[in-house]
Amino acid sequence: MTRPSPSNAASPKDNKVGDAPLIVVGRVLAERGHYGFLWADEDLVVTASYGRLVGFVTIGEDITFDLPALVGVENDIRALKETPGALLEMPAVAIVSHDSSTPRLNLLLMWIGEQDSYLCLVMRTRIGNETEIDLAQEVRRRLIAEAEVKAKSKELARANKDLEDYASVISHDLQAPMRALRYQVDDLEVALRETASQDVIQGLDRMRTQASRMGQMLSALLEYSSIGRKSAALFDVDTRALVNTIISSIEQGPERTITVTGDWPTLTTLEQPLDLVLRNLIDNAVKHHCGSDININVQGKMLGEHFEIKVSDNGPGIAPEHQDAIFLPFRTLRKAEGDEVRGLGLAIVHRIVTSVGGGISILGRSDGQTGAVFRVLWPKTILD
Amino acid sequence: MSARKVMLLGDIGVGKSSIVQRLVFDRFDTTYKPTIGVDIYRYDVPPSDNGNDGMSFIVWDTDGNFGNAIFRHVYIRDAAAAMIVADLSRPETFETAASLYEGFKEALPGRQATILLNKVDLVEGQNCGPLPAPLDRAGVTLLRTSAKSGTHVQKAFHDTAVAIQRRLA
Repeated sequence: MTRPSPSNAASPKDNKVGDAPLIVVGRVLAERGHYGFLWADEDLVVTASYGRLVGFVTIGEDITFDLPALVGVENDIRALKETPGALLEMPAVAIVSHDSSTPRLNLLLMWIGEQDSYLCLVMRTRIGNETEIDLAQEVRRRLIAEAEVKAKSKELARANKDLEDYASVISHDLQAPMRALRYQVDDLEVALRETASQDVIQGLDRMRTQASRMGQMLSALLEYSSIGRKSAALFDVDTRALVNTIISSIEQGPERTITVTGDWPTLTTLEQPLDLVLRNLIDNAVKHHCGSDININVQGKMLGEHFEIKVSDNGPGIAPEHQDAIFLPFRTLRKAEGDEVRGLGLAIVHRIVTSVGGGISILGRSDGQTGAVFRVLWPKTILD
Repeated sequence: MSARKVMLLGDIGVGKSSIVQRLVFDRFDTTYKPTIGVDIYRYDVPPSDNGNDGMSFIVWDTDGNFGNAIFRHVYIRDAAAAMIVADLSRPETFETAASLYEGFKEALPGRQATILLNKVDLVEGQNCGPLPAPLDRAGVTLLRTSAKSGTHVQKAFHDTAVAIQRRLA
């Protein structure tokens, strides 16, 4: 680094700076592109410029020609002449063109009476270094991204609601013609009983069976679409009493054993949805069992912030490739037998559990036996 | 050709920069780069037979963070018109647009203000919700634009040139 010679440097004694060092400083700053100087006459025509930063400004043109940021403030610039010492500042502007953009600039204008000119001091904006600007831009990007996600979520919620309403209306409204169809079949059967062939009677019977099945599917769909729209009051629920009540309502026999093990606490929770989850899981284990010796175990356990429920059976089990599809509406891995299997039980369970913020998964049996284990994590606390 | 200042106002991320980039350079950049400060563009509206003799616009693409504070700033001085942009896919930006519209009309009475409901390409066929009361009334010039496809972008500025010319006539 070169030290300034005493003759050119500021004198520390009287704190005054000579013209020469000022000129040097001004020149160095301008040459390094920190500042630029423009002079304009009374008609705002640029008469001189100095510094790399203002190299793009055309001498002889109106100052607004290359600095369009000054369009609209011409009268304010002219007024500077009437108010000695007054300044006009135009901060943080970048001039963008096809070829290039200027850096972000601060423009500071004043009237210099000694030179009978306007001086426009052009400086690079120091609103922050590159990192700070990048950071500010990143913050805004995230703000926008969050706003967009929020808007999409809102739209999705609206679309889901429309779909639920649609499913609800359709399933409700189709019940009446479906009932009418069943009655028509009954009437036809009575009318044709004496004359119709056995094939016709069997055909009518099949029609009645299918219409009845469709009616049950519509009822199930109505139930499914109403999940989450019902009022959600919390009660103190003795979960052991609840599961025992459910099991006692299921027909048991010598070939069917349902046991309850583990810890079953009293929870302040949604009683009806929990009832539906347990009932459907146990029903599912019973209905999908192909063998004669049905063993079902229902196990409860507190696990941190969740109540864990495991319903295990000794049925055929569920192959891994079917484990996702089994929770979809009207999917069943077994062909319907009679009217019992309608393929919505597990979909209802899945929907309820996820709507309360819990989870459901299918596990293999840990004892190496065939069968499936449905594991539900039911939140200890239900949030709004 | 006389130069007129046209302000682009609106919430952050509504597409102000994309609109002016489409207008001036006929391009659309999918990367979002927020404007910090003001970017200034020149755009020459060609003469047309609908009352526009040709006009040069100095378009001020402003930082969305200014909000209504811009009306107390030197930036707005003697603006001939404003394009106030809202994002059709984010109805909450309508409120900001309504506030800026009223602010501009108060700061510069009689000047042309146009509401641009941008990103129409994102919401084709959707119901975007009601407009706020200040925008949902007769006399408010509204255009649905897409900086991405260019829909109505040029028209918005060309119509503004005609409106400015009528006011000055």
